[in-house]
Amino acid sequence: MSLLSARNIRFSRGGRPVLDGVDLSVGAGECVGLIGPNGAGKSTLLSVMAGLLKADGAVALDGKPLEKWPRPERARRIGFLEQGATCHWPLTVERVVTLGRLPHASPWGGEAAADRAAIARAMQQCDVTHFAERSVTSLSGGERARVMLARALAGDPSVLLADEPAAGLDPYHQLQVMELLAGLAADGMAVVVVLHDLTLALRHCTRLCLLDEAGKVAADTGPGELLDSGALGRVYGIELLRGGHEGAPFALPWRRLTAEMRA
Amino acid sequence: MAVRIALLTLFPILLVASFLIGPAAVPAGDLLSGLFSGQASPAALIALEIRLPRALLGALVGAGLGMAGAALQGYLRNPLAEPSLIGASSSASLGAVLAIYFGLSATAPLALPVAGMLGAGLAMLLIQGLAGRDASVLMLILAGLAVQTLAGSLTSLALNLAPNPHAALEIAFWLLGSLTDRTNDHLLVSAPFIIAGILVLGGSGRALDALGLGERTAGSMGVDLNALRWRIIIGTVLSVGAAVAVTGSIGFVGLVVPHLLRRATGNQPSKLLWPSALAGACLLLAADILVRLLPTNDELKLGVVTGLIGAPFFFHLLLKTRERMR
Repeated sequence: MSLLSARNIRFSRGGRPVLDGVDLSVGAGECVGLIGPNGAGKSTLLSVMAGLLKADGAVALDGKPLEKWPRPERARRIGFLEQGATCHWPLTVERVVTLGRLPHASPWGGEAAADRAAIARAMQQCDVTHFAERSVTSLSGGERARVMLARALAGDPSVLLADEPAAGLDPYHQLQVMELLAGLAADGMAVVVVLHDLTLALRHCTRLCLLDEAGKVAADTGPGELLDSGALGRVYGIELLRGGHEGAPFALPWRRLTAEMRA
Repeated sequence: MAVRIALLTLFPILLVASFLIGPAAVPAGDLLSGLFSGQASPAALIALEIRLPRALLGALVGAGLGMAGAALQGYLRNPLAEPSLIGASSSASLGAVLAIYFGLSATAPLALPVAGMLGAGLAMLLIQGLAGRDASVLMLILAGLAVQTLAGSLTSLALNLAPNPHAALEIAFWLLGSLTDRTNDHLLVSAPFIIAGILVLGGSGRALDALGLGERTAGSMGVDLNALRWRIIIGTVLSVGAAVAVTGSIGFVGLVVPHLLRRATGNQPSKLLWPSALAGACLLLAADILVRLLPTNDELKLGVVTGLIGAPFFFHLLLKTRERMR
């Protein structure tokens, strides 16, 4: 059963439809990659599913409309990782991750043992423990991205919506983040992740939802089936080099398709 | 923690010192016994009618300005923000000047704080309207500057049209900001509003912390951004509006205090709020003691002193910001 589902989402900006009747649902144990060309509405869809942006259509968490959930309860269930997330004040890494417990905070303050355990676990998962005392504004982009992911995980969400968490990371940390997300899904979390890197998406996601430039779902299927359908090349307008390694398919963007080739 | 302990120690000392120091050389013992004797001795009169309201008002106004400064800096995510910078103080001054000008404050004591809060409230709404819903910090500060200019011009107009030189002088002196000759009436009409404003702002800590991670992230963490905006507006209007209305404009407390404490509180907006209120009270009490101790012919106005402390500080902050931007 799906934990978080969006049905028939429509959203326009400046008279141009960004999302045009999009359906997407994610269940426990799934890591859904949200892919598509620039401007296809991936981030917009993620914001709608997080309840941060009002759009036509219905979003339901556990079968109940998102807007019917009390704000704190929704915040505890859905973790959201903003694209290029940063912290305005030079807080220490540990304090930033601690802020992730805010949805769980009691009105009387104070950290419970459960809070401390969740914070320590999130910091360890994202490999940030060894610079816990450093100021977050002094970190490299890749380090900061992992701190922000730890912040989102500290809240113990059952659904994680992550907007390009691997952008700007070196290959080692890209793989680390994607393995972490795939692992969280395998442990029962529902994950939706916006990605630009098709190799990462095909390798680590259990399902891929491909949005096209018209704001419609061009495909929503497993990585292997998506490659076989040829939809990726059509929507991006590129030729893909396909292969397989250790029994898993992969694809590399090889060249742009010219107008004649597209026709 | 150390900061809190230091402030909690310093505050009562300054409060008592402010009570004991003044132009009339009354022995400390007489003043203290006058507080509780219930007799109408000169010492008791000075203690109850002059020294006590002055000290308490100084503490309250300083706390309100310190809290408002810390909350605004957290909300705007800008260490240069403070109530007077975004036009709240000058608009509150305008409201109070109009109340004095039309004689409302003489007939109804509540008119002064209410006019001050109305002025501050209108200014905040105008700034919201000018800057738009999703205002950038730059837009908010520019809108604040525009509102400040407007309020300043209208205040000058009131001075210009004052019925006689004496009235103009009275307004002009009032504008400089002072705690001199403030009575228990001033204290009673403003204290409830200032305290309410401090409490409203003091409850915004967690939301301000979350806001430091960006508006969308804060929203995803359960922060109601619209409610937060109103909380900041209402809290600032109450505390700054009521404070400025009875003391005149006292600037820079809201800028200096949070900045001095920021590093010691780990740069976290929520941890800055209450210490800023306490330190604001300490700063204003200390400045008010200073104006009474300085051997000048006429007592310096408190607003002049905080301005003289604050303006160089502002320069210092700007230079530091410039260095960081390079």
